[in-house]
Amino acid sequence: MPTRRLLSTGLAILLASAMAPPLLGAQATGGTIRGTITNGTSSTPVAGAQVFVVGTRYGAVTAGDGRYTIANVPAGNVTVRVRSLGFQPIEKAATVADGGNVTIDFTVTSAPLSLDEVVVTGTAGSARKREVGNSIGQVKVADAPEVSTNVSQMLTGRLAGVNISGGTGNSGGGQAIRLRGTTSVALTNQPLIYVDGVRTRSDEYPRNGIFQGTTQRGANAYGSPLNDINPDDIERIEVVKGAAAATLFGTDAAAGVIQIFTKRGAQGAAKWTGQFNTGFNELQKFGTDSVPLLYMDDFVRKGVRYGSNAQVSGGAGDNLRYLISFGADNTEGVLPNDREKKYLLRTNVDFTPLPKFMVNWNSSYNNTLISQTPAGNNAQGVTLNAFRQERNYFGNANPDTIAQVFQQKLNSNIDRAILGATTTWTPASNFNSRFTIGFDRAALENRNVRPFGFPAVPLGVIQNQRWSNTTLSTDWVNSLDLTFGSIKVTASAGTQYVNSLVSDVVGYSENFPVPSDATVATGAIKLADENRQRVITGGAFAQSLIGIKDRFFVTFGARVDGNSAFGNDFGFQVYPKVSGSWVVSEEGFWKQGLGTLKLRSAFGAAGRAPGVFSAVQTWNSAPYGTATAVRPGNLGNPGLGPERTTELELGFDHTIFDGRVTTDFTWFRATTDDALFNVNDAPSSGFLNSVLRNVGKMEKSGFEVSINGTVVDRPMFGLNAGVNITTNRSEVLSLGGAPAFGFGSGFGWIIEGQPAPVIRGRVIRNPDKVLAAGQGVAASDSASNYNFGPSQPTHIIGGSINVRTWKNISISARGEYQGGHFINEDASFQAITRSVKWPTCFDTYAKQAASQALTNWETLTCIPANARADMFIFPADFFKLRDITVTIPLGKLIPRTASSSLVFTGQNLFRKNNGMPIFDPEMSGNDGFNPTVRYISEHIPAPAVFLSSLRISF
Amino acid sequence: MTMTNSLTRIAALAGLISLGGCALDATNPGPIRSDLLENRAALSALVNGAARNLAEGLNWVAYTSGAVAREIHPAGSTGSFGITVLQQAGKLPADDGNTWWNFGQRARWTAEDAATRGKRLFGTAASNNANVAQALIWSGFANRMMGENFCDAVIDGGPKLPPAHYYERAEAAFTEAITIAQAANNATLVSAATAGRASVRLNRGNTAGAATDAAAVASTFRYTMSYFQTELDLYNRIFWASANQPYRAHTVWNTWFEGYRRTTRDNRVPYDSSLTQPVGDAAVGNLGRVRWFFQTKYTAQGSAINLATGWEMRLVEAEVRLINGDIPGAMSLINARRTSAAVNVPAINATTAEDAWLALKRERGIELWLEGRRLGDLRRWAAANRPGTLGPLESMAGRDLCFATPLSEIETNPNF
Repeated sequence: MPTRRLLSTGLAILLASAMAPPLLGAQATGGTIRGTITNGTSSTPVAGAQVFVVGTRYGAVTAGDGRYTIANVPAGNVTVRVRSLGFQPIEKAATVADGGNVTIDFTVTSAPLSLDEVVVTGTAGSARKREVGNSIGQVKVADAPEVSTNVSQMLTGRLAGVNISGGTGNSGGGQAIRLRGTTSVALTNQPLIYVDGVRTRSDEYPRNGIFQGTTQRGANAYGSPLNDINPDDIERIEVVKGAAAATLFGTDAAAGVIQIFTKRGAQGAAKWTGQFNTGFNELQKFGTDSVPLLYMDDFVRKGVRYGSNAQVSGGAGDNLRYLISFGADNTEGVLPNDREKKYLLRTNVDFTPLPKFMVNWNSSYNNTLISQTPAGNNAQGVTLNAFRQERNYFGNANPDTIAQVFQQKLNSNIDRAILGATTTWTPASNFNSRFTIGFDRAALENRNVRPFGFPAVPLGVIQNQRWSNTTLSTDWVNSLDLTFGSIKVTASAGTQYVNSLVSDVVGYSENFPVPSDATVATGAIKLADENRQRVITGGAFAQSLIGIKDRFFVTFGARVDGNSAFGNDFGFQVYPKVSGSWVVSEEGFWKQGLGTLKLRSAFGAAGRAPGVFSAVQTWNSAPYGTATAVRPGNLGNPGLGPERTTELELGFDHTIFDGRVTTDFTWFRATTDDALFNVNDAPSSGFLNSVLRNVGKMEKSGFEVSINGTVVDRPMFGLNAGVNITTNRSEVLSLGGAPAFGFGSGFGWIIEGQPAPVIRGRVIRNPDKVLAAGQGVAASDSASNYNFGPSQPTHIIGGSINVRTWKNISISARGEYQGGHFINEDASFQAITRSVKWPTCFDTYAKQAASQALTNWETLTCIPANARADMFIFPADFFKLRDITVTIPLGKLIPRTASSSLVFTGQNLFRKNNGMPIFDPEMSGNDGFNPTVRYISEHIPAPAVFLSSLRISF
Repeated sequence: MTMTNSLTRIAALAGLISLGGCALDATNPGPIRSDLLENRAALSALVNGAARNLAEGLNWVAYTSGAVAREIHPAGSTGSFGITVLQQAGKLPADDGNTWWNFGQRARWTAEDAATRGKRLFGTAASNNANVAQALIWSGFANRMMGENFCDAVIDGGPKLPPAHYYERAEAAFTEAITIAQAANNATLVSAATAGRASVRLNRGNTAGAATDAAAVASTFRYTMSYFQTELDLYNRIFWASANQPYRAHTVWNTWFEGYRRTTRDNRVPYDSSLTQPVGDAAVGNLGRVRWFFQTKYTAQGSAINLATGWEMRLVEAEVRLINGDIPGAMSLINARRTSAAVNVPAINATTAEDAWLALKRERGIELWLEGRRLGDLRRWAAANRPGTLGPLESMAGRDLCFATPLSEIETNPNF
């Protein structure tokens, strides 16, 4: 017996004996059903399809070669059904005899839109797509042929209304997620993230910087908790983008919800899969043609990547299924000290101790070790000093001199455990009660060492931050189905509870006595810091779904929420919802040739809770030397509540030409009442920190269209293409009497009648006007306080194409254009005002040398004394080729495998800016995923990634 | 008990646990609730907080006003610890930052709040409470700093007032502090408040009162604002912004003090240079990289800044004498300091008002160098049209003499 089979058998036995020894029944008898599932279009095997005997718990999941085996099926006449994401369900009848073998092969056809597909996110329990009145975005693993590097990458450019941007070229850096643009200007816009029903952290990890004073002494890159999830563990991702769909998540769900569903085991023998990835990262041009890497050439490298994943899944007996996966990944960054090592482990177990009781257990553990290079807007970082050449903080452009910053050691160690258990009790065929308890713990150690002899701090500095976020969540949902003739009513009610604690302790010291491996204990001057913030949200909901003739559906419900951060004068918050859908294509008047059409509409509300201390007037301890001292902190607001976003969605889902062309259209308008604004009191009143007030009103609206089509579908050739179009227009309707205010580092402003937020700065009029010798720029040729436009794209167009060729070798590509928004590019301003010979000004310098006249633009942006920070605001439009992937099926070419394939992927290969001269408009500055606008500081952009992967199924 | 019953009970328990989430209160440690400060034991921390706020306000004002008033010259950085492009040109407009105003206002407000709270908490016992006197002294110096450096006065979100309003508040605070400190037998606080009041009275044109107060303060008296190595915000900003590591943001090069020091070796305006770092940390506009002559008046992160000294009092007396036309008397006071063993630089022989006022203006510049006082002096003399024309490197032509009220106040204060 091969080792892996021994292992899997042993594992199955171990799991079975550990979890259910008294409950397992006697050895089953019966027959065996086996067969192969084949894609009717491409004639290729379908892996991962669920095959089960209807009305029983007997089933299996197909292996890489499309084969399945269901053992111990009770003798008799049975119906075998196949379900697989992206394909039409199909079933066949069979007769099974004790000890007999039956072979049933299936040929499945693709079904991009299946109205009977079950979705979970935003519904009470679960619902079929036909019953749901709001749009739900879905990403299925089958739709992502590329070698996924992380979950953010999987989502990037894949769904209309979902924008993943920001980030830098540093290892360990993550990206911010915006669903339908900006929802809040004071609170996080990160959507809630659930993994298998468990609430997890969605905001960024703290950067590895310094806790006080000049905080940017690090890489200034933020990690994303989302990327702790192994992309190879994921079966699908559901995205609900706004309040209309997220009402049942209540407070905190206004920015939308992303729910990740991981793969699960199925009955049958253990199925093994393996994946081996190799490749490299390479920085692409982000400067001018003459200085493509902005003087970073001596400091970047091709970073090697390699990793592997292994999964085993199966079932033991008829009441236990399991999936175990392990992944390891090692990625060198393009900067010298950059490296990210990941180790990922997952165990999913589904256990049915009683006929009416099921337990689903999910556990994952991830350990990530990140080393980084000091970068960003950091006087002791490589990028800033390289960009500024001899005007840098060394006064020297020699790479060996600048390379001294590499002595700084920036190491982060992330331990992440997500545990979840769901029990589903079905005492009657029309009633079930589902209870989920989840636990998410992220523990991070940030170690930041500038050793003895480091140029800027010769005696050395060290900081160690121990940070953790623990989230305990429960979710109880009860559903009762009642049928009255052609009317079916599903009544649901339940509760949710989320208790989250974020805390950290920081140790800091400086001045080491000698060169040594320092700890915080080594330094002569020591400082410490501690923060603890607990937030509790609790709520209950009730919902009724009424279906008429399985074609008309109306859902109405409400959620009631309380939150520990609400002010004392603020009570519970009620979020209502109502939605409807109509499967028009099942009406008698509908002609079959018009395809399948579902009309839908949804209206709902959701909220966003303020920060934990926002409601209370507080003073802060602020020692004066060694003396105890306090000073004003937060002015407080006892009437503080959540901001409420109500949203209306209208749309339709349509397929035509036998499912070959699908269209998903949604129009939305979301209005945020009681919007929380950080309102500044007059500084002369003593409290300098802004106070949150529910004073504003904002609106955003737009439409999202996804069209996917199978253009050609022949056995030897296929062509699929798709396009996503998203528009988004936002406006601040009211400031509630508060004055317009700016926030963040990127000249973001909140101004009535303008986008939320708008980028405001100094516009250069008549930029091409040539100035006569000795003539200065006219005062009228530049104007401050000019509203350039929104910080978020107003239109995104994404396209994808997949070509299947000879031997089913396929080539796919995805590209995306974003436009309509603006961004402040600060790195150029900082360099030019320091008289750095900046590449975008080379032509200007040449003109000056030749005593030629300059234009307004050249005079204002290239002559140090004239430059102003708020002039460097540019259109952020760009086109990017997100990825190109070639997949080569190898079949059984590798001996003793069920199937294998080779995949080659290139990501982030090409970018074309439309407005901004240098840098990548998707880059970040030193900020994290927070609600302030992005800006660009002294960073490098995310590099291109070239990966190959060998995928094997046994 | 059957399994079904067990499951029913488990489900009910799970429901109760879930509903238990209705206990939605969370107490978070850290920030101090405002009501906890209504306590006599909290007064010391409130007063120290006022001190810290004044230290931070003075830290910023002294540095930036020093650059604008040409006590120092920019040498590079324009960002953190730097001097902005506009400040390098001598401009202090409303839209070029707000930290100076914000920190100054916080210092004023917290000191006044501490004094008010102290009097409320202690009742009649406040009349000899040294903490209350100290709060009033911080209030006085905070108001003086605002009056000397800012173009407008605004109190607690109120309307725009003339900057002299700060001096009124400062004098009232110092006067009350003197009374309480005397009752508390605290001679240091009495002298500090008296010296502070002398400087304020001079600014208000109460020359007799200023001279009387100044005369009550010994020449050796020195009252300072402390700075500390404990955290960056409490580092002496002038030192840290000119320290080789991490910044070389300003220089004494190209100031009047450069030549004066080189000529006289006056130890009140010391600076030095470095063989290994000859220039500032970045280019300064069209000047490019400039020589880095770093001040050494403040030699460490924890170097204190003077708030009031006896030698300043002598100069207050000298100015009053000049105003009264007593040139010999004024020069005698000026030269007493110059020829003292501690300074030991040549006496100045001035017999005309022009020369005497020039000597006084320069002597105050030397004595109060980098203490955040120069803009106030220049403004006072300009308003009174005092004689004594300063040289080109001291000229303020085209440069601002006060910080404009920033947008942070204008845009948030409906009464402004």
